[in-house]
Amino acid sequence: MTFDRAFLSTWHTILTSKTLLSTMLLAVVLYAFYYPAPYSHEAPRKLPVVVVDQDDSALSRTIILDLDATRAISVASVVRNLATARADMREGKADGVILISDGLERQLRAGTPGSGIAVWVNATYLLRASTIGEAVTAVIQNIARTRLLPGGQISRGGPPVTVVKEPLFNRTGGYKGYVFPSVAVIIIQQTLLFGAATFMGNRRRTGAWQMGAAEFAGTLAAFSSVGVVGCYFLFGLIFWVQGVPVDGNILGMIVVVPIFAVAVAALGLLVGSAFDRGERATYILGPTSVPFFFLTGATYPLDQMPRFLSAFSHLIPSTSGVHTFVPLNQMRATLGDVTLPLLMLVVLAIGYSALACLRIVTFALWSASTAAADA
Amino acid sequence: MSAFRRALTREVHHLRRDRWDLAGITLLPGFLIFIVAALFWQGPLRQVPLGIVDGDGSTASRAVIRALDASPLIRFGGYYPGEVDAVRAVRSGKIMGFAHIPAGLGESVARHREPVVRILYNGSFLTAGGQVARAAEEAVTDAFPEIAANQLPNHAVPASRVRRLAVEATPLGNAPSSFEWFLGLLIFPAVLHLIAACVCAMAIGRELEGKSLSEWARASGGVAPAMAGKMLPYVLAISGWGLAWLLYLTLARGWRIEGSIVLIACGQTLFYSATAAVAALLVAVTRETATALSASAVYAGSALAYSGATLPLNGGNAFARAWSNVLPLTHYIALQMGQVSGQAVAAAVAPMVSLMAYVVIAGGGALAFIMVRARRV
Repeated sequence: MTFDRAFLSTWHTILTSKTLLSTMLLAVVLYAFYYPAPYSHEAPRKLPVVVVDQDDSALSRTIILDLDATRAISVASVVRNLATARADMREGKADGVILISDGLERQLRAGTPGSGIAVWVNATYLLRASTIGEAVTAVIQNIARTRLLPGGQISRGGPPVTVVKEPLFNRTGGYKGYVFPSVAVIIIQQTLLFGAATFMGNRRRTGAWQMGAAEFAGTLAAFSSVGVVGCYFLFGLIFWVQGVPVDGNILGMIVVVPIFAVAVAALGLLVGSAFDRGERATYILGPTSVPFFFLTGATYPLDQMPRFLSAFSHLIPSTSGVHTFVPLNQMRATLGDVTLPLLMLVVLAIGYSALACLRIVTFALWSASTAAADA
Repeated sequence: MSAFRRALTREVHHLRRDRWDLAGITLLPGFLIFIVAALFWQGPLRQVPLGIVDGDGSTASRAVIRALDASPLIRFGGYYPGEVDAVRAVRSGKIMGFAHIPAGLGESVARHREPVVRILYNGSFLTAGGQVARAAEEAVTDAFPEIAANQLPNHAVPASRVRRLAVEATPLGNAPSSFEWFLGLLIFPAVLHLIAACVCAMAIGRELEGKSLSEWARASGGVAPAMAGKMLPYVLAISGWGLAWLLYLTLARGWRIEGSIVLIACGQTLFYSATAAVAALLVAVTRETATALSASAVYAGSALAYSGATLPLNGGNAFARAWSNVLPLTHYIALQMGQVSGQAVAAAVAPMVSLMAYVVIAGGGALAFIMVRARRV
């Protein structure tokens, strides 16, 4: 079969097979809206806390009002003793307990020690814990600054230094703008892997799975083009529709996408050629999606993992994919800024294509020639 | 032999023969458990590179840099002449962020000019970036009494009035802010959830003949017990892996479950039974293994995002909140994390009941579908 024929017939198979069409094309469209939905509010909001107000002063009531006015915290209830608050937390009604101890107002006005604010948070949910902690600190600092300094000393009594924290690129520090750009790479990779592996697995079941060189090249090109379409759709249209922060090097992205797509498509064909039938693709590869996402280093950086694991993670195209596409799409990186992951993608694309070719093509030629020799 | 026993022995025989189906409940979870375990070996973030733009170059700025470098979370990631160069380094991934120390820092501190130290971090990798920025802020703030004392050697340093309000925060259950005890607890159940969904869909899908389970239903001698017998090896195997993971985290890694581990173990068996019931329903409705597998990949594959365990869904949109409650993983995570952090047993009742509801509703639905179809033919 010639390259063109194989390319067209593969596309034809994809468009007419319900399974391939839904895993490779419809799934990408679905994920584009389904995946960002739980992140649409961008930041943790209104986490329930219980306040124990032992001070019961104008100051403590202001603190409670201010806490409730933050985005992060919702004061679920105000109680008088710690045991009640702990019980609320044990029953799962609150993520944290804030204790405003007796004598706080007097301490602030007179400088006498012995009082303070204590916060207990459930840190098994790290994000909730840090959000509550930060909100409490901000409220207390603000109150100390604005309300309690004797008028004459305000100008000299402020903090000696101001520390400003600013997120770069994802300027609001929102979760959708953080998670979705990386997950988009995983979405493309996994759907394309499933599709290509299902295709090869189905051919394995029929028995006639090996191909000539031109047919293999055409098939690989067809699957790669599916990946290219998916990437352009997510990076171009969906990021914009979803309001993900984009500061893109569009030209760079357009150039790199085909390299990534070839790497993934070749890997999919290679893996699929080992399966006994098409369904194995989702069966075996499906459960890898979540670990592969964490192996990209988007949440827990690669340099924090054991060496052998970060080395292994580079065999998965999405790892270099995230470190190429997130800088290109979100950080306006030049191709020079992403040289290393880009080179890795090129190596993977060539390597996996060669391996898939060896597995699917040359073996066929060899067996054909031995068959001829036997005859 | 009862229908249950017959289906069970048949399934076990099949698993002995088919290496791919066997791999789905042995090698695959084993490989993934190893990856997830290795991923978080180190636990909390450590030594993340942070660059410095030093506009001051004095003893004061050096004190700040020493304080930054002393933080366990931060590794000194090099000097940069200006913010533009530092941002370029952030883009290429050399540093996670940088601190910009303004000119005349020491003098400004001494004279109460309120200098501004800027900490810029990579918002596209928010978890790591945010943690480093927080650590840097703490380090810089803590360094200032020393700087003020150095600048005003003959003066007593005025106590900061802001400090009069002492805030003491105690993280319960995960004092070192370890990712192992946070994400590790979440990821592996999510992975097993998807594995369970796939292996169970595959197991029932194998009985499809000409897009129908009617033949199997008639030969089974009782659809409900046969279904239970068929699913049992899978639910047991996956629950075993779940238990292995909990024992690894607690016995080998030294983490502590404040509540009842027995309750978590029961909860997860119930959870994987619920997953099996949903898988049966998907196969019964779609009557195609491939479609059931794809549907499983979609609903179970992204269930972690909808569980509210990473980004809480309070304040999320109505669809996300409603769908989150439809997904079984949300209820299991609520049960597991509740017990891990020492919630009362009463708090586990609601998630347990929800998980049981999946077994009853999804399982019952699947049986009804199969039986109605079988009778019609």
